Amino acid sequence: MRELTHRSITTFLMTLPLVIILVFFSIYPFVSLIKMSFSSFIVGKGYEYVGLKNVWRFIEDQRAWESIGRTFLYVFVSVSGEFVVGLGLALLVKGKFKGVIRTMVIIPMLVAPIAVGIIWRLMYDPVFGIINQILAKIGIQGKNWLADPQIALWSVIIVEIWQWTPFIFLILLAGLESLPKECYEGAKIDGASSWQTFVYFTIPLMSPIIIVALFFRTMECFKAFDKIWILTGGGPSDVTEIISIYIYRVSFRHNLLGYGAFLALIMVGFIVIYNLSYMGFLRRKI
Amino acid sequence: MTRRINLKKLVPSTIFFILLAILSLPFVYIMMTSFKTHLDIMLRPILFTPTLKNYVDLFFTQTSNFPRYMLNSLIVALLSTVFIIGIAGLSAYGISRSEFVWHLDKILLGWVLFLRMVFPVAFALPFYKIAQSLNLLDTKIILIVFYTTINIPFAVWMLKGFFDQLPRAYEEAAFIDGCSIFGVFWRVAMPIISSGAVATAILVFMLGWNEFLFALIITESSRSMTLTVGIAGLCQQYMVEWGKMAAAATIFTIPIFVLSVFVQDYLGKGLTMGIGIKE
Repeated sequence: MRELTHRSITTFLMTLPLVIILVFFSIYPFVSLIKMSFSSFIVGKGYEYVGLKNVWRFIEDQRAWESIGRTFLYVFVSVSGEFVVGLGLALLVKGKFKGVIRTMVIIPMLVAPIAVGIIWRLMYDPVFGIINQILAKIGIQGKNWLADPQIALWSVIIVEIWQWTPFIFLILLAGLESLPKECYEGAKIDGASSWQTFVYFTIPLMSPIIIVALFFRTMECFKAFDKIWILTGGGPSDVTEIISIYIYRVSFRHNLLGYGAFLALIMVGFIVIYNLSYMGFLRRKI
Repeated sequence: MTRRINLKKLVPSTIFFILLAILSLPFVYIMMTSFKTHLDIMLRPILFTPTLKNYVDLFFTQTSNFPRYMLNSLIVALLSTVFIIGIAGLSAYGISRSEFVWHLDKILLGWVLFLRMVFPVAFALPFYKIAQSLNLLDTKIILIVFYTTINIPFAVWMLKGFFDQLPRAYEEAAFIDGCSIFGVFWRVAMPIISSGAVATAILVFMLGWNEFLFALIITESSRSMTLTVGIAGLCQQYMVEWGKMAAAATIFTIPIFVLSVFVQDYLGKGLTMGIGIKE
């Protein structure tokens, strides 16, 4: 018995470094973020408590609202697109194409967001980009994909879908291949069409995995910054300015760190509520 | 009849190979571009003479800080990985093996997961302020501290998963032989999960190597600037040099490719932190 308590004290001590790191480098910064949110923090001048001034500024800040709306659109369209293509691809590949070909599918996910940005900026280039070259060959007038305010956001979303479809694919494929074969054989004997099998077997059996995949994709998608920064920098005329880019600009271009912190805090609050409700949902499903 | 069967097989395969081309060819395209001269990029002949000029320009020009950026990235990513694996290894084992009062372990894991959810920019802002007050702006130290903090959740969750799967019988045997708990951790548990720990380390290294936002905020000069910020700088120069940018993107991505070959089996698990994914 003494041996056991001794052991559990030691294992507790083993977690101490983590606790210390979390307290100093995550709880303290988080408290500091809250303090910053209610102050005007200007580089070189320091703190000045301003009460709810940032809240009023936020309510009147049309650009912030627009960028939040845009972020939701960006996340929703990207994740839906990734899901549809990823699921389709996983169904096509299931049980086939082992080895190198599968690895090729996941290449985009492995390329760093910065490099993805460069690759696509080059491909989207109206003059030497490969996309407009191909379109010209089949007689279509190419567009200025990243500089046209009407389509720039969609061009950026395509890149996001391109990069992260493999993630959904990888997870759904693992799920599909672990489904019990007997169900399918039974359905076949009972004369179910492949569409019926898909709707009544595959989707319900896969739903926990689908939920997990969508959860992580959505969570990460909200954080997008690097790719868009390289592709458009938030332009043209702010049409690709999602919230993280707006926060960066407010804080470091307009030098309003207090207000930037307030916007960041709002987004953190939103993400936490979203994730908690999603996790509650997840727990019921699994 | 035979025709119909062929069609049924042909259509999915065709769709698959078209998608495969869309997914994998852009990277091949950027690699090819990196071996082209500026003239070839503009005139775009199908056949071109490969040149190493872009790479030579990046690495060996007097004014180019590229090697310096690369070294910075390497130091920052490597050191943060070492810290993360050390701390996360110990604590993941602790969390996995001990019974905590008041669900402290759950609270700890929950906080760790929360860290992963938070916008990087929400942590970058206070870190910027801390760095400023400690006079650490534009240093590698603050980058290492930041990467250790934001990437530790990931490592803790992954390693805890590995330790949870480890049968306790091995450890009990070692206890009976008179091993201390640190001894068991270091001599028994760690070696058994070593392949998982290496995969975790590689994934954490990749996260640090690819990070952009915080480095953009903190770094100003070649003293601490990492590769990502350096490459982004190339994009914003008034004369866009596609060849050089393509070369930079290639160089930047190759190590990630090589490393990811080793962690392929862990990728799905890693990216969802092991939640809900069976092997």
